[in-house]
Amino acid sequence: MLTIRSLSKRYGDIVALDDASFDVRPGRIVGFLGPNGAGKTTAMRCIFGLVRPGAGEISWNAQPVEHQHRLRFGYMPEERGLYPKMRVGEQLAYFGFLSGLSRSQAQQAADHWLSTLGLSDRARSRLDELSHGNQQRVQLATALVHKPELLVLDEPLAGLDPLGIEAMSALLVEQSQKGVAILFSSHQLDLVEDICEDVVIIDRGRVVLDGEVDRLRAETGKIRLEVAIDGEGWTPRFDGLIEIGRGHRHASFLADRGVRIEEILEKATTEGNVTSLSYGPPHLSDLFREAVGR
Amino acid sequence: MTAMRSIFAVATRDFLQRARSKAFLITTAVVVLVLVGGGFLIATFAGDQPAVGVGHVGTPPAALSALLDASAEHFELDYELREFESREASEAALVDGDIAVAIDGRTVVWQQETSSLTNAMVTTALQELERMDTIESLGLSHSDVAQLLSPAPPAVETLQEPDPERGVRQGAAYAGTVVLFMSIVMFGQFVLLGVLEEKSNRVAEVVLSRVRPIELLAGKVIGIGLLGMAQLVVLAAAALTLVSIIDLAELPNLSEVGIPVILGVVGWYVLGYAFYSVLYAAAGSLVSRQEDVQGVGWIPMIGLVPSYLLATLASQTPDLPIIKIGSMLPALAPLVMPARYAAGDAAAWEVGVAILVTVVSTYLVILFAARVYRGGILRTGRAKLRDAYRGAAV
Repeated sequence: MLTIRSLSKRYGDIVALDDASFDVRPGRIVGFLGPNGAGKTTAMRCIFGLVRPGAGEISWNAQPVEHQHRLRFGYMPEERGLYPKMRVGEQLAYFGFLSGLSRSQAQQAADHWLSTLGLSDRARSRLDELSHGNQQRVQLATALVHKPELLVLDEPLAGLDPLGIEAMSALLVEQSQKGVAILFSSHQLDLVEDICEDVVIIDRGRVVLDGEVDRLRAETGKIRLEVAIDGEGWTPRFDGLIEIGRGHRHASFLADRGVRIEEILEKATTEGNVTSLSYGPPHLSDLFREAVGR
Repeated sequence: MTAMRSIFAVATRDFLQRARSKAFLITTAVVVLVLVGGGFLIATFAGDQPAVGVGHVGTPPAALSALLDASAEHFELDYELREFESREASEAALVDGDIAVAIDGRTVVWQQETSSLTNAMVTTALQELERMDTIESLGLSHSDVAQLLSPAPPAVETLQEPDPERGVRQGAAYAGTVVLFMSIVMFGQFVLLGVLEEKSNRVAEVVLSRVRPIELLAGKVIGIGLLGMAQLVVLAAAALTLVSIIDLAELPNLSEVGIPVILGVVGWYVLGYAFYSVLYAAAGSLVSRQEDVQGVGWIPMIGLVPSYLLATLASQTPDLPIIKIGSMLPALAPLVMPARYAAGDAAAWEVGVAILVTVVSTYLVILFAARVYRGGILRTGRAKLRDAYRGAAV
């Protein structure tokens, strides 16, 4: 288990991390959320010793993280990058070797990942001869080539098309089922909600929400209401409901759990022909908005 | 243990990736070709010139042959004397270009242009002949004439024997200085660009999540350094082969002078490269884009330019006090000391001091450069030297 305790980091006057603490457990996928500049990348870099924290502790299975632990971690940085002129197969094997595999193990692992990603025939191509999407796949394979116990992925979904996102999601779930601990940051909250069991929300360097997604959604004491009516330019008004989104014919609200649905339905019916009304626990994006407070 | 493994892996990659690149192979091939081709060209032009054809109408007097021999030797010419039965026959040979000049009694006959050296040779011989005849007509004996024409030279006593190898040593020292300087700059530049490549491609973060910065730095410097050494050995081998094939007569003791120079060049390359390559690496870690290289290239040049100037001076005048001091100063020693001992005399202890000073200063430079590198390698944009140095400590 990766344990982060009281992590702090300042760059001059800018506070990147402020007493941040959270865990990543084996076999779990943790969505690491936060607005731009919240400190996600800094926290991830701290795990790999790329940034030295001002204070705090990072440990793996109760031991302070050292170089030999990091060889068992896999990292995909936000800024993607590999050697453009190096052959794909050689490149994967090289990174496998740097992570402690023997030459032959590294070669096998490189072959395995290239065939898994459907790139076996490109093993001898230079990286810059590959399409953008395929370069992304090689980047991911680089993080996975040494069978890491912890995967840290900074914005792994950024720049992927819907098919790519699907494949990436499937791969993350598969890795977590093998017992890999996964920490990944993203701005695509609906996807995070689908994939992740746990979520850490960070804002201005502080962890503002942390826990199991389902539990957090249940614990808010709020429900999410969506009403749609037949008619253009609807401006709904309900006392005690917080409007969180509106389109031409529908609107979404956060309400206290004790709200009387029948009253809302009744009021909506007077303003138009209600075509649908649904309610349930709030979305992750609602929790996010509330936690970040803007 | 893992550190050695990582350094080895990084060094191997950097060595092989560059050694296999077409640009590097072509550059090396071109340098070898230029070296070998240039050598052959020089050898061809500096080799024996064809004998100058000199025609003589009628049988030449015995004295003329001897005088022409002496005159030809003086002007460093080879000549071939041919007899013609008549003036017409010699003129025909002139027109055909079989001979360059014809002698008819006391007249010199040219076809067209006169070669000043050939002219001087023939004219001198004829004037000498004229003078001998005049002296003889005055009634002097042959031995009197000889005495008169070639008086005994004064005795010469030299207090210091000239060094017969001085020219060779100066040339070797100068060539060695150029090769050393070029190698350090070229492969230092490779290190700078290698570091920059990892920054601009953003692969540095991927690599540094697996190896420590100092390991990446060491691997890169060693891999590229070995490549530089391999290229030096190839060039040296080409140069030695060339010399042995074309037999440059002007370099008498090449095996005695040349091989130590080449060994010295490689040895000092290792020391000089170690000192300067880490500075190049530190410079490279400060920038993220190719365009900014100009702005950091001066860092190693602070030491390299004065070293080169002083070493060039040392190859000509190795005994100047400033050379003696410079050859034992940090940063300067790797270029100045080899030039100085190749061109002149440096005591063993002086060479020892220079090596020791270089090793110690290299260690200190590595500490400094590694810290700048650690602070700079993951920064984006153009980092200041001071900020990178301080940043690494936080």
